Amino acid sequence: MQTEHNKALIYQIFEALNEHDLDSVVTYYSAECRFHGWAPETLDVEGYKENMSALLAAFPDARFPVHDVIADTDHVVVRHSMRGKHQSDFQGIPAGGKDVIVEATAIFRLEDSQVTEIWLNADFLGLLQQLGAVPMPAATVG
Amino acid sequence: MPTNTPQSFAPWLKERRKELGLTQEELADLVGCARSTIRKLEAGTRRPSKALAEELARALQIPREQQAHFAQLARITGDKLPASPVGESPGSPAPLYRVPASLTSLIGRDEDVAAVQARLLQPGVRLLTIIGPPGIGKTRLSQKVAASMRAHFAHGVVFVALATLEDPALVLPTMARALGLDESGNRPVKESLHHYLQSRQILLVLDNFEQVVEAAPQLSELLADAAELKLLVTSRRPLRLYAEHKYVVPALTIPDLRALPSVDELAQIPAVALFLERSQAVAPDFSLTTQNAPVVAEVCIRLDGLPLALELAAARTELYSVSVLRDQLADPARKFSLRLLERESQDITPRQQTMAGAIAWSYQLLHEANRAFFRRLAVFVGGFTREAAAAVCGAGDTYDRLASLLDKSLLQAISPSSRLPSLREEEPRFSMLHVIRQFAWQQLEESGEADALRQRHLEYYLRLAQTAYPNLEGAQTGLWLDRLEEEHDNFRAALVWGLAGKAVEVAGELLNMLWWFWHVRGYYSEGRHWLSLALAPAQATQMPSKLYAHLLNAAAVLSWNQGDYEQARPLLEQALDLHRAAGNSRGVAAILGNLGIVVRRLGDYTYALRCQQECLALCRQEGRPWYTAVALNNVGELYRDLGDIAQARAYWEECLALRRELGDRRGMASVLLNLGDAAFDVANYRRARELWEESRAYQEALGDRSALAQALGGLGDVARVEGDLATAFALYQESLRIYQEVGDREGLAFSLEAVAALAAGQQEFERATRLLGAAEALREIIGSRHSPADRVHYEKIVAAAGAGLAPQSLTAAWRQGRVLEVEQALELARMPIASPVLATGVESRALETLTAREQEVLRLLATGLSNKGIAETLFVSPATVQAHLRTIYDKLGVHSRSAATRFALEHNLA
Repeated sequence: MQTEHNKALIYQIFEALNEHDLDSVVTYYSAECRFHGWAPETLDVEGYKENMSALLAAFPDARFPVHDVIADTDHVVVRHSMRGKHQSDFQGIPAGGKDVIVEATAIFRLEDSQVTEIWLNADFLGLLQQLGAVPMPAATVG
Repeated sequence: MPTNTPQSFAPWLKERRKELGLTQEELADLVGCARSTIRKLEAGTRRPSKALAEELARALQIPREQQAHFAQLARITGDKLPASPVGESPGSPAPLYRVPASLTSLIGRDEDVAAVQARLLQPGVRLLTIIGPPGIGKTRLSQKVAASMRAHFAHGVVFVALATLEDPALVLPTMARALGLDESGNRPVKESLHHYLQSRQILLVLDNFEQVVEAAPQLSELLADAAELKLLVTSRRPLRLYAEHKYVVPALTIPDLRALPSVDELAQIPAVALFLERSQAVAPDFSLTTQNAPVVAEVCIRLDGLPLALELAAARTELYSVSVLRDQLADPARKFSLRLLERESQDITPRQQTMAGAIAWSYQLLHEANRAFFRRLAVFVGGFTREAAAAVCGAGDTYDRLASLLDKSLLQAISPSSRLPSLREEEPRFSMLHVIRQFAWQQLEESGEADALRQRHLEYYLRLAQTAYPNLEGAQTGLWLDRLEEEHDNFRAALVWGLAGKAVEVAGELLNMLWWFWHVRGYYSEGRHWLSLALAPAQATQMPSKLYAHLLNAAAVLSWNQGDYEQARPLLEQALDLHRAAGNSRGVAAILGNLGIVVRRLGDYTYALRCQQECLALCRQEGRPWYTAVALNNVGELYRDLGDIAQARAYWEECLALRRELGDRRGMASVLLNLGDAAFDVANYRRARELWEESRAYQEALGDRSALAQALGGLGDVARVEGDLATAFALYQESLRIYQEVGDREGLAFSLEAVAALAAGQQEFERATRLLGAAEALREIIGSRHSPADRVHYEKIVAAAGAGLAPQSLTAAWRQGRVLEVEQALELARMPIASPVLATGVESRALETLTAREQEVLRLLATGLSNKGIAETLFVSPATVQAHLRTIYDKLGVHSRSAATRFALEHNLA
C-alpha cells in the first residue's frame, strides 16, 4: 500500500510539473529536500525552483511525459522525458525554435509522504547538441 | 396521420395536386393564379408568396398539423429545411426541434442507435427507457436518436435535461418550460402540459430520470391523455411503468486478450476505437502498434468498455505511456476505497464500481491544488463561468486550472449552441457530467469545506442578482433576464442551503432580488414555493422586518399572477402592518396600492376604494406626483366599479391633468382609455371617440401595442353602436391582430367578445355564441374577470347572442366555442360577417340556385373530404365532382375551396 501511495504522490508531482505550476510541485518536497543532477552542485528547494523556472522560460511549452514508474517502500523511479520548443535564451544559448526531446530518469526518495531527495539523470549533453551548442559526435552524424 | 412528412416543397405540391385529381390549370383557378405559376412552383424554379402558400395549403387540403411545415418549406429556397426552425411561443404552429448538438462523435453505437430508432418507431411503443449505469453513454445515445427523429414527429422533438433537478415536483414544470409553455394564470402546469400535448405529435426526450423517478406515474398520465406523444427516457433504473419498454445499453465491445486480432482489426473494436480517437485528440502522434496493442486492449478491458471511463483514461495518454496507465488502473476500485453517492449504494454493480474507480483514479492523479479546485466546483449546479469559479472556489490562476480539468475530461465546456441565443457571445460556461459531479460533491463533503463553499456560492449569486436587479427595466431587460435564467439552478441550490437555516437573511435578500425575475418570466409556482419557505414563522425572526415585508409583497404579487387573490390578501395585510409599525410611509403606500388591486379583484370595492384613497393621500402628502397620478387612476377605476361614473371621471380628469404636467405621455394615453370608457358608459359616443382617438395617437407614437389595441377596440365599439359595421369589423380585426402579436390573452378575450357582439347584431347567433364560449375559456385560463362596469356591456352581448338560439343549440354552441384552440377561435373571429347589411342577402339567394346534387357536393366538401372522397361517397368520378365544383364556385361567386367551405358553414349546410 505504501508503494502505491508513493507512486500516487509522484504522479501528482508530474501533473503539477506539466502545468508548470512549480509552487504546487514544491508542496510535495520537504523543506530540506536535496536535488542532485540539475547542476554541478547539489541544489536546495530554492535552487531547484530557480533552475526549473529558467528551463520553463526557455521552453514555454515543455511537457514531461512519463514512460515507466517503479517503486518500493521509500523510493520511486521514473523514466520520463522532456519535450519542448526552444523559444528563449537557455544557458546563454539564444532561442533557435528547435524542437527537443530529452530522456531522463529520476529517483525520488520519500519519507512520511514527502520527497526528501531526488537524483536526476538527464541527457543534458544531448540537449545541448540538439540546440546546436555542442557538435554532434561523428558516429551519430554519419 | 402520415408520419413521414415531406421535406421539400415542389414534389409535395405536385403529389398533393395529383392525389386530388386536379390539373395545373384547375389548381391555378382554385388559388387564383396563372397556370404558369403552378408550373414554375412544381419545377422548383419559383417560390410562392406567403399569401399564395396559404391559398395552396387550403386548396390542397394540407392537414392542419402540417400546414406550418408546408408554409415553411414554401418560403425557403432549395430542398433543405431551415437549420433550426424553433417555435417560440406555445401558440406557434411551427414544429419545435430542440436537441442539443453533441460536440464529439458517437463511436461504436451504430447498432444501438438503429435498435433504439426501430423500437421507438413501433406503433405500440410510447415510452422507451434507455437504461444503463453511469458513464455508459445514455445521454449521447438519446441525443443521437433524437436528432434523427425530426422527420417522424410532425410537431417536434424536444430534449429535456433533468440532471440538475432534485425535486420530482419540478419535472412537469421543466417539461412545460422546454416546450415554451408558461404557467398561465390559474391553470395548473399539469393541465397546460396535457392540453398542449393532446393535439400534438411530439417526441420528448427526458434525460437523467433516475433521481426524479417518483415523478414516473405522471408520465403514465401524460401518455394516457396525449395519444400521439412518445417519450424517450434515460435512466440508471427502469421506471417500472406499465407502458414502459426498455433498452439496456450494453458496454462497448472489448477485445479478448486470449485471442487478440491484428492491430488493424483491434483498432475497429468499439472500445479500442473510442480509446484511440480520444487519445489522438490529446496526443496526435498516438497510434496503435504491435508493441502497445496488448496494453491498450488490457486498459479497455479493465475499464469494462465504459465510454466515459475510456475517455477519462484516454485524456491522459499525452502524459503517461499506456503501460503506466495500465499499472495505474489495475483494479482502481480496490486502490482508492470508494463510496458512491447513489441512493442504492448498497448494491453497486461491478460496472458502477469500475466507473467510480476511473473517476477516482483521474482525481487522484491531480495535484492537490487542482484537486481542491475540482471538488469545490461541485458546489455549482447547472454550470458556471470562470468568473464564478474564481470568486467562489478561488484557487490561484483559474484559467490554468480550468484548462487542466478540461484536458482531463473532468470538466466540459458548454457548447454555445445549447445556450440561450442572447448569451452565446458571453463568457464561456463549464459544467461537470452528472456522475463526475456526484463524485466531486462527495469529495467536497469529506473535505469539510462544503458549508464554507455554499456560503460563498450563495453570496456570489446574491451579488449577481443585485447587479441584475436595476437592469430588469430598460433596454437590456431581456439580456439580464436571460442571464438570471441561465443561473437558475445555481440560485435554486443557493436558496436550498440558505433557507435550511444556514443563512436565512442572505437567502431572503436573494429572494428579494429574484422575485421580479420569477414574476416576469412566469415562474409563479416556484417563486411562491421559495417565498413560502422564507416566510415560515421560524424564519421571520432571522430577517429584518423591512425585508420580511418586501418578501410578503413579493409572495402576494406572485399569488395574484396566478389569480389566487385569496392568498394575496392576508400577505399584503401582514406586510402593511409591518410597514405601519416601522413608520415606513412609502412602504405603506406601495402595499395599499397593491392591496387595493387585490381586493378589487375579490369584489370588495368599498374596501379597495378605502385602500386606494389612503394610498392617494399618502402619495400627495409625500409629494410624489408620479405615484399620485397612479393612485388617482386607481381611485377612478373603483368609482366606475361602484357605478359612480361622474366621480370616476373627476379623478381621471385630475389624473390626466397631472400627467400632462409631468409630461408622462404613456400615462396620459392610458388614462384617456379610461375616460373613453366613462364616456361610453353614459352613451356619450362622440366624446368616447374623441378620447380614444387621442389615446390612439399617443399609443401609435409610443409604440405601446397592447394599449393601442385597446383604443382600437374602443373605437370599434363606437362604430358598432353607431351602425358602421364595416368600420367596426375592421377595427376589431386590427385590434385582434395586435393582441395576438403581443400575446395579450385578456385583450384577445375582449376582442372575441366584441366580434361576438357584432355577429349577434347581424343574426349570426351561433357564431357569436361560439366566440363567447372561446373567450370564456380563455379568461378562465388566465384568471381574468370582468369588472362590474365591463360586465354590464358583456351581459348585453351574451343576451343578444342567446336571443336567436334555442336553449339546446345555445348550450351546444357555447360548448363548441369553449374547446376551440386559440387559433381556431381567431379564425372564427376573422371570417367576414355575412350580415344582411353587409352582404344584402346575395349569398342566401345563391344557395337557392344550387341543384340538390350541387348542394350535396358542397356539403361533403365542407366536411373536409377531398374530391376523391366526395367522388367515392357519391359513386361518381372525380372529374364529375370537379365539374360540379366549378359550377358551384360560379353560382356562389367564390374562387376558392375555402371560400366555398365557409359559405357552406355559414348556411348550415355542413
